Parts: sequence; structure tokens; C-alpha cells
Amino acid sequence: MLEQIAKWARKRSPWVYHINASSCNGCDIELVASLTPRYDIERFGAVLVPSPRHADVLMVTGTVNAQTKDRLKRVYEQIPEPKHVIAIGACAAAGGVFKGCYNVGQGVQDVIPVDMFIPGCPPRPEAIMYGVLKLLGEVK
Amino acid sequence: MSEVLLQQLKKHAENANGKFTVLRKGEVAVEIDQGKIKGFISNLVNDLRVSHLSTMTGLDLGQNIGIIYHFSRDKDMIDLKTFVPKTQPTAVSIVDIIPGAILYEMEIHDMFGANFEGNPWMDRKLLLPDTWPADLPPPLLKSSKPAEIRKRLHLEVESK
Repeated sequence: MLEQIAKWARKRSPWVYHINASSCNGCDIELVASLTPRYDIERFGAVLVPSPRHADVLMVTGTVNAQTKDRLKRVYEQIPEPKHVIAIGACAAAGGVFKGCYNVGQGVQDVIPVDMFIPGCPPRPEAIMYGVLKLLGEVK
Repeated sequence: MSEVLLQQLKKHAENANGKFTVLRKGEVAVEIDQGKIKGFISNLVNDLRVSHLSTMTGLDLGQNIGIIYHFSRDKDMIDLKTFVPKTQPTAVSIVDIIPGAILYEMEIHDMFGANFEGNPWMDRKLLLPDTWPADLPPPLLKSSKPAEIRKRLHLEVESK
């Protein structure tokens, strides 16, 4: 019974933590646009929280490089279970235009498990919202 | 570029045994020896009032590492070119004339391996990751191999 209530609550209020793993800020701006009144993802209960310890969903933007790799892992480990990861943008999915550089990995999924990829360079706020809602549909 | 500034630059370049070329309207290049660069920049800043260092560029020229100082005044650009050999990449730092050059010099040190003598932060990293192995060559030299560096930084995932 209690578990069911927790699941229901989680589904209607996914708290989001955003980490910039060396993004160019393009995806970050679109993410902010999807949070602010014009698109307003808070309608669906998604709130940006300042600490990973409060979060249910981790949103990652940017290529993963040598400097951010270990930090990303550490932030992921701080999020309480159950947790979900959304990789936003081409860079987070596969390295984007920086793929093949000496300092750039192959995307977020090599470091932490990813539940949802949102492609685009940068993805539109609608796409980010669609991704989050789709993920919510999967939260059971 | 005003005729006065052009003539003064020409004179200073000749005094320093530099090669003076006009690239286009408003942009001149002066190729100058490493030993005379500090005196020339000092003249530029103090006498000619060309004191804005826009940026610095590093180049891999095979045997040498090229360093270009881009100065600007109003719409005019003055490019100072100098070289240091790769076998002994010791360049002169200009932080005591232009303090803002410290970051540009650190960047060229990170990316090309040129050592700027007199720069107090030569032992630090600016752009490279903290985990950068000391024995790896600077990444923007043409001899460096990105795949190898990725492997050393543990960014390459073994194919399953």
C-alpha cells in the first residue's frame, strides 16, 4: 500500500537534477527553456532540485571527457534509488561533433546506465518534455 | 592603419631585425627573433600605445613551434610571429609587460608544450584534465595520436 503511494507520488513529481558534463551550454539553455513558463515542465511535477540527493531523474548534457567522467559517476551514485538518467543532446548520446577528439568519450552510457536519449543539437524544449513524459510513462 | 603608426612599426621592426609585411589593409605581420620579442612588445605598449593583446596562437610547424601574438588597436591588427625549436621549447614570457597574457601562455604550454620562462603558473594546467599523464605529448602537436590519448585517459571502451 505504502509502496503504491510512493510510486504514484514519484510518477507525478519527478525531481530533476541537471549536470553539465562539459556541454557547450546549448542543451542547457533548451533545458532551462523547457522548465520556465513558456513550456513549463513543472505542470507535470518536474522540479529542478539543487542536490542530487533529492533527485529522482538525472539529466546529463554534454560530452563526457576525462575531467567530468569521474564526477558524473560520483553524482550518479549519490542519487537514491530508484533513479533514472536522461541523456540530452547529440553529445551526451555519442560524443556529437566532438567525437574523435583526444579528450572526449563516446557518450554518457559508457559511464552510467541511461534510460532515455533525447537526440538533437540542441533538442527543442518540446523534445525534452516529450522525453521526460515518455520516461514517466515507463515509471511503474 | 594610420601612416604614422605604420612607419613607426616599420622602424621598430627594422631595429629588431624583424621581417615586416603588410597582410592587408589594417593588418601587418612582424616576424621576429625569440630574444627580441620582449623589447619589441615593450616598445609597442609603451611608445606606440598598442597595448591590447587580443589573443595568442600556437602553431605546429614541424621543426618549430610557432607563437603569434595578436595585438589590436581600434580596427588595426598587429601580428607578432616568433618561433621556438621543438627540441628546446623555451620561450620568453611577457606577463611582466602584459599580465593578461598569463592564460594565453598557459594554453600554449598545455597544447603545444612551449615553456614560457618567467610565467609563474607554468607548473599548472589550464585546459588539460587533472588526470593527464605527464609522459603524454601535448595534444595539439601533429605527432600526437587522439586514439592513444583516449586510451590512456580511460575514455575508450573496449568493444564487446
